[in-house]
Amino acid sequence: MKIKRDLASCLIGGFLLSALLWKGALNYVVDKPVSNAIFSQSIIDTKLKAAASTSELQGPRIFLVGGSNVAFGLDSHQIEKEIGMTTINFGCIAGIGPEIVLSSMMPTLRNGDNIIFAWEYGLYRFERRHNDITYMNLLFGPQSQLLTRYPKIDQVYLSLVLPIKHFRESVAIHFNPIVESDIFRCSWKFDSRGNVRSNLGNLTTKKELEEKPLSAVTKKLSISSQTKEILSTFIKHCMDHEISIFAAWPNLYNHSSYQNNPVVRKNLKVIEDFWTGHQIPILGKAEDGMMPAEFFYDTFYHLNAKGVSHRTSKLIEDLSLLLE
Amino acid sequence: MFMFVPIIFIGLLCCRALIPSFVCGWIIVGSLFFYGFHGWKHVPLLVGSICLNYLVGLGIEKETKNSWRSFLLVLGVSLNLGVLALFKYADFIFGSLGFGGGFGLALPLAISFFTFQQIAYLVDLKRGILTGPSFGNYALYISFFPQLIAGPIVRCQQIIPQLKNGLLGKLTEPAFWTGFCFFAIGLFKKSCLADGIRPLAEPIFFASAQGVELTIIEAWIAACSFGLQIYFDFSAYSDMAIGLGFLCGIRLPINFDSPYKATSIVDFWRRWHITLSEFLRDYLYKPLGGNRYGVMRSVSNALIVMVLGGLWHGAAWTFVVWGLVHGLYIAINHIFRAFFRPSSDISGRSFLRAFLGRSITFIAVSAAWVFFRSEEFGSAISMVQSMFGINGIDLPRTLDWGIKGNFIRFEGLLNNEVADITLIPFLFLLLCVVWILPNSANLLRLRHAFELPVKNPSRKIVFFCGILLFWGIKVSFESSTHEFLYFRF
Repeated sequence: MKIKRDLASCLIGGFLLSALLWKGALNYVVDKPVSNAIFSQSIIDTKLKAAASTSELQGPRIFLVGGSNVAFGLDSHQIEKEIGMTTINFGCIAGIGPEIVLSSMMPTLRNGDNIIFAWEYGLYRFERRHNDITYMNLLFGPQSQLLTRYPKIDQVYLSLVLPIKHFRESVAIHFNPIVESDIFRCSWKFDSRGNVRSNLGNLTTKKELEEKPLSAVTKKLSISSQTKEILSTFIKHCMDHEISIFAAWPNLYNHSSYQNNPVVRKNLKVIEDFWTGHQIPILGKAEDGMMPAEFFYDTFYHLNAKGVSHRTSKLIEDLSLLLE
Repeated sequence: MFMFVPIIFIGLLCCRALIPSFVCGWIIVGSLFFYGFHGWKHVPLLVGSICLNYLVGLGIEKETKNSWRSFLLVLGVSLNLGVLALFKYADFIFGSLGFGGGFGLALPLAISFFTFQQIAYLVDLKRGILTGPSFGNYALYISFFPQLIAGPIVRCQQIIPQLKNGLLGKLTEPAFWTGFCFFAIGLFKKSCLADGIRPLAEPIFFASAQGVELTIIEAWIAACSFGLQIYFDFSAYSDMAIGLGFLCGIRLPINFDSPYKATSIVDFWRRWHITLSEFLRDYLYKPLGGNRYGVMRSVSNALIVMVLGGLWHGAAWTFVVWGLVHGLYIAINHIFRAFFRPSSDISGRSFLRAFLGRSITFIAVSAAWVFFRSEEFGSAISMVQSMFGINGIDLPRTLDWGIKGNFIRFEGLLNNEVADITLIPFLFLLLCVVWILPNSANLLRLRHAFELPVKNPSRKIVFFCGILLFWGIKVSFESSTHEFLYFRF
């Protein structure tokens, strides 16, 4: 069977025209963020502002890095007071992945700084193609510079996976004469060092926390190649700039199914081996971050004020030993 | 899909070129894999059903005594209906009779489709309008992957002659382009249109199921958007099936002919799920007497057929009522035609009459969809009541002139805030598509008659299909793509 060339050209022409149209649409909305991106970027901006406010201060600093478990779970003021080092809480949102957080933080670091990673368990499985909508909203919005550094195949994949809704919402927000885009900014109350201060009391109950264990903990973990690659690049940057790195365990509700669970134990060992393989010291044990319901605010990752104080004290204890 | 289809076609072309005798086997294996991919545990049921029906068919064909032929037919039909009843209706029957939950068996994919095809095969053998095919051709006719899961319902006499003529895997240029364009249109309809309108219908039906009393506008938005969703979803599957059929060298029947352009309910059923309508007509309505014994008999036959047609879709009272409502519509249509037969023929119809007919049909069909979509009868009734203002009338707040009362409320047209208002323009766009634009068969100049050769589509159409293909693939990549609605039948 022969394929008519003119029909084949028509087909390819129509296909390419649409592809170009979509590419043009994405370029058009790159500076018109959707609500989700405004929310996430406002958190990153708060953290960058907190870091910038310390740039004039002398001496090494500590950056607490991770997702919202860090934002809601560690108190940089307490660390600063007890260790005597300026401390910034750079906990953002786990869903946006490690790459955005690290690339945003990197320019603010200086020689002699210290990084404490307390990554959520899910972040060890990060893939650029993990189809998280918050992550994609940022990449095709305020974090578009990062996207341009991705391999072409990932760029094509992500632009195909990004829902058309992104374009629709972007245009709708931009041209909405009534609603100010500022209303989508994150409303969590942060202090000057980036700690969340609105996490008082318990909004969640033990029953709710017990409903479902975190699959990132109970499913067999194999650290993704992209996570390894991202971290290796970051570690290299830190070594070049004499920045010390420490790993810590994330805060998590201690679900009954984690106890004596061989898969969970194996996963924790995988994480431990990963950090030690990079010669990065680990602060404390995974169990230090796994706490009872009374310490949690609204989800299994977010601590309340009581939990923050408890967890930070333990971290300070472990950190003091290492810094000595 | 994007992996399976290229592999099956490359394999088909290789078989055709190297070992032509294996072409049929390759497609059967591929089809069983396709079926098994959605759930392996029911593959033995499909294979067993094919073998058993083939054996019964052989018996009917070979037997010379008419009484034995009838017995074998009754046996075959009963076995098919028995399996269908066991898997699909047992829980419903036991539940309705108050005997608890039944067997709790998982519904095998496409059981309604392959059961009906096999019943039609046995009936046609008994009628003597068919000669039995070889086992390979029969197995391929039932399991042919493009149409296996959600139709079109194919007759043996439509497929077997094509297989006997060696058309499987014989790809001509017009068939390639027609198939490709059908597939592209179907993919676009499914991923962009059906799944695109779904977020408008779904939350409203969900809210109704949770006991929210909808406003008139909300209820109509839900009904119309679901009507569009199911049309684009099901016709997309049919288009893709026809397209894949063409690419395999096999022609499948057209299943939709712009049903929302229908000017009466009878016309609607000539255009909607055509192969099911024809099946019900030929194997149920006509044997019951059809319209040969006067209006009342024809009306009662239509009611029986439509109720059973409703039940075919699913084992629930909502489907029974949906069928019953359509049966009543058809009855009204028959009575109207019998007593108020228009003097002029269709070609002489005025634009106004056609417009009125189309509008009334669309409203009637949309109202009936509520029963089809709702999971519970109570919420469906409440929604229909809302559609016709029985639950009260909701008007915009700006019109509030201080009139107090429970029936007329000034709390807004969409005051439950369950409808995504950003999708309402899309709803109107899709209404324009179904009312104004030609359907895929029209676009590709495809006629219903199987014997007519296909022609190459025009360059404009191929260009247009290139555009649709991109958007179809693009949206399929988004995680929001959902399973075809008719997979559950």
